[in-house]
Amino acid sequence: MKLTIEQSDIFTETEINIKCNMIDSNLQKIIDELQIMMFSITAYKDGAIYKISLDDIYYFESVDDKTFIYCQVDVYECKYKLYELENKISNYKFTRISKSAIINIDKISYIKPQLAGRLDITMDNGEHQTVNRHYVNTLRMKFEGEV
Amino acid sequence: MIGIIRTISHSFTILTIIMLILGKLQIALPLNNTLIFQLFIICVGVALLQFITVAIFKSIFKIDSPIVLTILQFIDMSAVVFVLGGLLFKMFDFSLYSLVIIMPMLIVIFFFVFFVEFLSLSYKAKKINNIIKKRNSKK
Repeated sequence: MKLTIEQSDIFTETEINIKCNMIDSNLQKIIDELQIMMFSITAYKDGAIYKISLDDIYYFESVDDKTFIYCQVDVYECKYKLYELENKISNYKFTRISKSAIINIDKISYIKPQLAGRLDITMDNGEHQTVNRHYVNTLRMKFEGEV
Repeated sequence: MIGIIRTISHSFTILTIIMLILGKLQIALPLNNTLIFQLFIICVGVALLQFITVAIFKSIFKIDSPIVLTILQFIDMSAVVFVLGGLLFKMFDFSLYSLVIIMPMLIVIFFFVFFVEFLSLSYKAKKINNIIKKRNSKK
């Protein structure tokens, strides 16, 4: 694989072109990573509008009919419903873990079994989330690349 | 749905083995086709009632404590065993002797199913943690 970077003042917008014979698993990984970096979600906080990259999001949570975006420290509001987000981002590193939460599996530090068939997730920022028993297999398959 | 089927298969297997042992020891009736079918109906009833109870307590009463839900599931199991097994299928009468025999059985079955499911969950958690470890070592 050859990597060519052209840097010049004549370019006003960054553009990435991939020329290939076929998309193999390594190239697919690169494309996935690029798509995650390029895909952003409009978020709201204290009257201001932000563009949040998927890569910076730890999890989405629905509370009282509102959807919130949780990053490492900050929390933003999002206009999408959880099911809409699930449809948009389930191809990326996100998976639903309960009726009210969708999590970024890249931000999971470790997992512990709990009572009643649940899993306790410790995130990279130390926060905890609970995986409902109905979503345990989906989470496992997501990690194993089956979903 | 998969969770319900898994619970039914675990509890039915364990219950059948225990009944087989008790039958051999002449403490319970020896297993036959009717008894096996009745045990299966009891296991299905327990799993369905547990599913409904958990759903109601979570959505209506907003109770989500794993300990409370586990206790409720045990109560569900006892209720189904006594109503279906005792009243409907006449597997035992409601004497003190029956209670003394059945209650420890219920506790053993409940915790055995609980233990098997916890082991399965621990295995899944371990597999995921290994993937996370590998992923982190690559970073």
